Amino acid sequence: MQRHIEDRLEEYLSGTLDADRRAEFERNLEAAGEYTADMVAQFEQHGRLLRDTFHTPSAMEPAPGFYARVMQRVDAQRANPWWFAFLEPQFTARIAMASTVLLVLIGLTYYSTEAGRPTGTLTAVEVMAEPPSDSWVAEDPQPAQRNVILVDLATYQD
Amino acid sequence: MDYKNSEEAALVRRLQKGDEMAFRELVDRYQNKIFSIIYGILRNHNDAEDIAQQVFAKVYFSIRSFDFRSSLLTWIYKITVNECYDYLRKKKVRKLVYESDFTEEEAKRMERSETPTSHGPSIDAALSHRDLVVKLLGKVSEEDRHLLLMKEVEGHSVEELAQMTGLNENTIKVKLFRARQKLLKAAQRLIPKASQALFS
Repeated sequence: MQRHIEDRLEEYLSGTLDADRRAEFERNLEAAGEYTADMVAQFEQHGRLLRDTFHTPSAMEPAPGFYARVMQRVDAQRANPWWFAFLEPQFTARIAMASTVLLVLIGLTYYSTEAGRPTGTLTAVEVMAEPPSDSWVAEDPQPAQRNVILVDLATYQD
Repeated sequence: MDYKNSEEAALVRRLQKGDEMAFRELVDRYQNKIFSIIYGILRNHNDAEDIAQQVFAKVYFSIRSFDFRSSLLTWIYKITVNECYDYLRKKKVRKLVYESDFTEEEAKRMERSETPTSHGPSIDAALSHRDLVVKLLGKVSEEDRHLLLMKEVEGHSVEELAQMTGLNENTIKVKLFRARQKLLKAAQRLIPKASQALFS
């Protein structure tokens, strides 16, 4: 956006530019292209919307005795110890929500780790826990020799 | 004028020392302003009273953290808008009743659960229009929200905002421009094309 438009935008939107400067601004806006002109028009519209929605027509005031009610609230909050906040329903709800999110995350992580592992590959612990399968025994060309080796290993001495 | 030497800064220093009379002075000075701001957002007397009490209680307990970087009113203004938005989040916005959006007749009709007449916008339309603007403003950051409200609703100039926030005028202009862009993007996301007519 052109430097001139940036500089004068807020004054333009507030309607505080004098006639000459306003005309100059509008000329620059036209020259800047449709996109910029459209954006500034929307800024104007949003400003109007905010004013219409939040503006209070006349100065409002609280009911008499406001200060006393504020002090009552101050005293009530002062009387509560700091850990009182933990008992508030809002805090409890947040803790419950955070715990649920954490559980879901742990669950998803576990699931993705398990699902992502290639089938057929086992961890060391799983290998040790598995009993020797029949197929392994059947494929062993010399099953008797296995027992001999085991005995050798068990009785081996230097 | 140097803010730290102002009358307001002297009041803050008294407050920070725990002077209860200074607190009373502060409440007297700002209660109408704060009440008006809250009423402007919530449009309900009882809620405005409740939130205003909470704002001043917060000021009472956290005045020691006030560091004079902005003006006292700017600091209280931020607390006020934050409290309003916390409240709106709790109430889920939709169920709010905006007293001032209704005429007496409309309120009575609402009590009798009659259907709106064809004259003028319906109560539902007025409520959803307001809800939409409140929601829209809830989509931008706290800082952007404060700046936009102070500029558009409170009517402060860039120069005044610079004084109030302790930032320079160019920074305020840049921040406002970015805030407006974010609001625009939020509007494009939040409002489907069909309902954009509501805003024109």
